[in-house]
Amino acid sequence: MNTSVRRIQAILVKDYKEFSRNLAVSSMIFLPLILAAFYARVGVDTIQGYFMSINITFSMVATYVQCCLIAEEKEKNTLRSLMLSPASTSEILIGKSTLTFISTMLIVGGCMYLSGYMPRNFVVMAIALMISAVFYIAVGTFLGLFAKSVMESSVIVLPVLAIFSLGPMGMAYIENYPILKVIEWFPSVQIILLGELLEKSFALGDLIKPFAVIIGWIIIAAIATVVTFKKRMVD
Amino acid sequence: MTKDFLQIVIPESVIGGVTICPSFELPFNEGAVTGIYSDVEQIGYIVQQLQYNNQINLHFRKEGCYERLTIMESLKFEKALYSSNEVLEDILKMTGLMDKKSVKIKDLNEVQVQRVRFAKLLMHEQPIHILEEPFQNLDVETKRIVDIVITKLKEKGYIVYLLANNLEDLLSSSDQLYRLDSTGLEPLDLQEERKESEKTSETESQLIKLEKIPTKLNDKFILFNPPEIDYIESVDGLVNVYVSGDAFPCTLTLNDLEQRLVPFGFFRCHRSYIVNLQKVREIVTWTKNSYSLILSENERTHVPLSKSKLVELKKIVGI
Repeated sequence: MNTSVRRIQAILVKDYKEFSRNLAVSSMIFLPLILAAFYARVGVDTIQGYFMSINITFSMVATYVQCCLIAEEKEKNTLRSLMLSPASTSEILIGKSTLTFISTMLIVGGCMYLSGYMPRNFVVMAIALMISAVFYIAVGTFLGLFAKSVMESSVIVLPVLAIFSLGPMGMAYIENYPILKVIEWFPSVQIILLGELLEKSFALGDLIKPFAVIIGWIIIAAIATVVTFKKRMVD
Repeated sequence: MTKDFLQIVIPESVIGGVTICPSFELPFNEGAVTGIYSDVEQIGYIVQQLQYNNQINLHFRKEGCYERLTIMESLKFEKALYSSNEVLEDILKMTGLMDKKSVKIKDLNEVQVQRVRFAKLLMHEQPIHILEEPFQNLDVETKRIVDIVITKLKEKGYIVYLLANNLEDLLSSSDQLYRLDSTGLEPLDLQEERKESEKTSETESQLIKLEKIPTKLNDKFILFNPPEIDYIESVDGLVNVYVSGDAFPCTLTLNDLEQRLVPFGFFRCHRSYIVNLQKVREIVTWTKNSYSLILSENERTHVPLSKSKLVELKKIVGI
């Protein structure tokens, strides 16, 4: 167990140094912060508005950074030696996700501070944000295994940005186009609904649906990631 | 636990009816460096076969590095990843990277990157090490370092295999040498010149009776079994023994060699050529007075046959 923690830590430290010296990718994570500050100054103070920057953080930081980290290992041909090292698959994946998780949480916190959003029930919202981050990181890992280079990963991540982060904008048109009902099941929409719910008085049972939906997405993303990872390992 | 290592078998590889690599078992020499002299294609195949054996640490010819890390940082990472007990300073000194330890890897040149990779290799704590082309494209100083690294791995009790298609480099670093071609894995006999000269006087008379053909490469003698030899050529008084397309200089004269080799089915087909008749596939007539022999191993190998010898050859073959 001790060696396993040390390996995860080694991967985390290595990734942090590599990441912080790669300005092209690391400067991207400040974009949501700028957006959050801008929205707050314009006077947006709806839950929808707050979550706009948080959802963008999820795809720009969690998914994009994770995707870049994996893609870079592949591009530089270092993923193979990492896989052949004594570190197990889970140690590699946890090590690589930890950096993304920490930075996502920091940026989400920064966004909430800058936009002045303070949920009424902070603990529930924090848990929801954390498990959402896990989902987006899993998507990032999945995409990273497909992307061949860092360049490709910045393109491949755009659909995630469009579908999950900008998806909630479609909520306004649900009445005209019933087909848009599907977006209600997106994790990004569920977390907004949860945010709205937390501002009102709510029963514990109301919380089940958003959490269940987000966890469902995590399971789908995790299975897809593990299957692809196993496949890549054989190549 | 050493029992487990004994059975590392490489399955046969046949592509389009041509045997790329025969099936063979990795020779097991505990506490020794084993050199396998082979072709690029076969080396690639072996490496691919062994990739997923977690007792084996593979050192690839080409591999990526974390370019934005400094040498020190990447060695620290490797140390934690492999939970090694090596002292980083010692490794840096051994590989001559001490004064470069805080330089980022992307700012190093090719050879220095290779040195970093060998420094990392020292921390890979796995019982079997297989090094693919360890000496390729290196300068003299780095080759020396690689030699030190290999010796160090040996001292740590690991089993080391070197795969290369350059015999010279293998000679200097391996204890046991094998040659792998499409027919199989065969040991190559090695004798250090030093040992040889110690007992020259007494072995001289024995040496002449020896069936093996001594060739000299740098400071080593390599002894070939006569059936291994394809043909022998003499150009400007320099005798070269050809084995699988490679030339090995030999100190004996062509006449001496002829005497020794005739019992093994060799034939003096030309004033300056001796050929292994077992390997002759075709006799080609170019013009009325010019003939040549084509060897079965490699269709491009032609050995000239003089007209006067043709009659003799016909008699031997029975045409």
